[in-house]
Parts: sequence; structure tokens; C-alpha cells
Amino acid sequence: MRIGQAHLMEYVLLTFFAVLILLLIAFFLTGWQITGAESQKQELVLQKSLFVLKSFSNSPYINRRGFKEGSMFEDSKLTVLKCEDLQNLFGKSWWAEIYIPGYTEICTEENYPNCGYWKFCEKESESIIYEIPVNIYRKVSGNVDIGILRVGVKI
Amino acid sequence: MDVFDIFKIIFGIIITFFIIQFLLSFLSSYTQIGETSKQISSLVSFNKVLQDVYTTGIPTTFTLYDYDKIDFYEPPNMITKAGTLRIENPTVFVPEKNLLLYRGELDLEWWKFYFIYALPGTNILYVPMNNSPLVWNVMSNLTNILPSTERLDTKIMFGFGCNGSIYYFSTWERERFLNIIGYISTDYENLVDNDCSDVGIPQFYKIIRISTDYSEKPGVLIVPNTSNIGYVYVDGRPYLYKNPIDIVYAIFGGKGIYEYGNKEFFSKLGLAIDLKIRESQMLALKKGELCATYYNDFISILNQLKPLNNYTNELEMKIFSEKLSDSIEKYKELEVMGCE
Repeated sequence: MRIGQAHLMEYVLLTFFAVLILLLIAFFLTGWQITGAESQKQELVLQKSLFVLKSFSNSPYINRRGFKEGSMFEDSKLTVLKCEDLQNLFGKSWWAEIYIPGYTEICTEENYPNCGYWKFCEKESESIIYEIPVNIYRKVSGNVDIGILRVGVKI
Repeated sequence: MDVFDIFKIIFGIIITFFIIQFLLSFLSSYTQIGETSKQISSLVSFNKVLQDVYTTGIPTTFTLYDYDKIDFYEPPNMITKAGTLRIENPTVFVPEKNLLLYRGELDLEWWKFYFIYALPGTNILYVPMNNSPLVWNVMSNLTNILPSTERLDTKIMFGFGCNGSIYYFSTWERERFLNIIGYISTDYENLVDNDCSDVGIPQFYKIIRISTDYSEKPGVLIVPNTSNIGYVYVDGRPYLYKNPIDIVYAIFGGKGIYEYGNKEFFSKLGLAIDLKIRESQMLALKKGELCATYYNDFISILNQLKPLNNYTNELEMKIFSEKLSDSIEKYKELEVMGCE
């Protein structure tokens, strides 16, 4: 009788562990999907960053006419643009700054063209940031300066 | 066979049944999730490539494997079995497997409006029904805004039709076709002998009739009133056009993209006008008296140029079109004077 009960218990335990393993595999696969979704979210933030960067480089609202390859910003356009204008074009949750090395004062209509720093939208501390060199056409003097464009997207 | 053996058999059957049922339901939902993920991934990838073409202007071809899973396209939303995809930029989209992705533009000198083509290879056959400068002008303007596919695998080709039941020349690319329009217009009498009404239209062909007089025809008929304004009829349904983009919307997309495209155009135009006025006011103070005069004239024209809510009113469109032409001319003067 006792041997019979022991066999029974052995059988039940074996079945229990087999079912447990199946459940663990199911949980593992589901967990894998969730991790995949998290990494896709990160990927989307990176894509958004690159999209804003490319949009800046090629937008007719910012670039000088006649430069098909883009990245020739006009200082007058940068000075009159506001964060809300660009958010209407590129969406939200990003910030950008363009600066010519040596300039720290933010450009306004009053100090234009004797300035070389433009800021768009509130900077977020936790952002993915891209930085590229750009050309800045000085509308009043006709010169071209080299500047840096920094674009950040909130994580 | 003792009781224990019978118990083992019955218990084994019950557990096996439970395990198989669990596995089948889990695997079927897992397969469904996998299938949906694959479709979503394909559509997200398509949207990303569209965005890249929009921002960079570099055309490309794209293979959309799940094009038959698209239920319908109501701009800006693409409704599919896997969900809804929002395409922000105005996109003229014809769901097929092998697509040409191309950025079209309307150049207003002081601003550019961009939109996207997502089209399969297409043969466009014009049927000029009168020998009028208006007809050739519309043909030229429309061809100019359509994609140039010289270095691409997916082609947009141009030609004339019909001569009998044969499509007459359909192997010209855009640039070559624009060059020959002037030459062909002198040979109008030998060009076409019917308006293609009785000819079956194969897939990926577009017959575009152009006439200064309206007549009831199936398919597409463009009736220009002036060089910029007119009506395009698609299977009898009229669309007012003020530029060639409206003709493209009507022919390839229909009411959905026509309305969305116009809404986007006027929304972006409003922003462009506002920015240009601010910029011109600032530059008028910084660039000297001579430029200030030209800038002030330009500003006063821009102030009269209001984005319209009703783009189906012909009179309002005419006034708008004239003001837009004035703004372009004034901007060209600014460029000639060295102010821009």
C-alpha cells in the first residue's frame, strides 16, 4: 500500500514539475516580448532624434534657398523662429540649440545680426543628444560662419 | 491491470489533454502576436522611409509586402488589420507591392511646400482634346510636378494616347517628355484620333484627358479656366484646382488626400507667411533704405495673402492665386536687388 502511495506521489510530482516547466517557458516568452517592446521604445526615441536632426538640416523654414543638400541655415530665419513654430512642424518632446563658437548671447530681433546663439524649446536633462556642424549664412553681411547644431529628444 | 494502473492511465489522459489545450491556446495567441508584430514592423518601417524621403528629398523604391492587408487609406490614417498607422506628411499613396517614394514640391520662391508620392510604376497617357495653349500649359505644369525616375527602377513614364486602340508612345521619362511637348503640339492633327473612351485601360495606366470644354467622360478630364485655375473631373466628380498638386491629389488619391493635402498646405502656408513677415520686418530695419522699401511692399502683399478654409470656391481661389503670383514676383525683385 505504502509503495503504491509512493508511486502515486512520484507520478503526481513528475506531472506537477512538467506543468511548472511549461508555465515557466510561457512566462519567459511573454517576458521576452515585453523586453522587445521596451527596446523598441528606445529605438523610437533614437529615430525621433534623428528625424528632428534631419528636419532641421533640410527644412525650407530654416535653410537658405538654393542649397539642395541642406545645412545652410539663414541667421535671420533662426532669429524669428520660435519653439511653438517648430513644434508645429516637428512635433514635441525635443529641444535644439545652434551656436557659433565664441557667441553666448541669445539672438533676438534687437541684437541681430551681432549674435550667434539660438535656442529652441526647453532643454531636458535626460535626453538623447546629437551634434553636427552646420553652415550659417549671415544675411546682412553675406558671410558664412560655421556653427554647431545640437538636438536633444527627451527619454 | 490493477487500480493504480487505471489511475495512471486516466490521470495521464487528463494531464495530457490539459497540457495540449494550454499549448495550443498559448501558441495560437503567440502566433497571432508574432504575425501582428511583423505587420506593424513592416508598416512602421514604411513610415520611417517615408519620413526620410520627406526630410531629405532623396527618392527611393520600397517593397511593401503587406500592401494587401491595408483596408483603406483615409489621410492621414492608414487603416490595416494590424492597426492604424498615421502618416503626418501629405502622401499620395496607391497601395501596391513595389512603390516609388518621391518628394514632390511646390516652389513659391520664398517658401516650398513638400509632399510625398508613394506610387507603383505608372504610364501616364495624355489625351489633349483641343489644340489650345491652355491645354499644353496644363500638361506641362502637371508633368513638371510628377516624379522624375531616370535613375530609379520604378518608373513613371509619359506618352500620348490613343491612336485607334494602340497607346501612342509611352516610353518617355519626364525630362524628355517636357522637351518634346512644344514640338508635338505642332503635330496635333496627327497625334490622336479618339479620346480613349472606348479603349480598355490596363492596370498601372492613367489616361488624362485635357480640354477647354467640359464633356461627360469616364476617367479623368482636366478643364482649365485660366493658366492656374480649373477643374479636374474624376469619374464625373469635380475638384477645383489652383496648382498642379491639386490635380495630382484628385487623380491618384481622390477626396481624402485632396482635402487633407489642402488643409496641410494652407496650415503650413499660414506659418510660412507669418515667419516671412517677421523676418522681412526685421531685415527692413537692418539692410538699408533701398531694401526697406522692397521689404515693406513684400510685407503688404503677404498681409493680403490669407490661408483659405474654403478651397472649393472658384472666385476666392482666383484672388488667392493672383496674390500668390504677386508675392512670388515681389520676392524675385528682392533677390534681384540683392536684399535676399
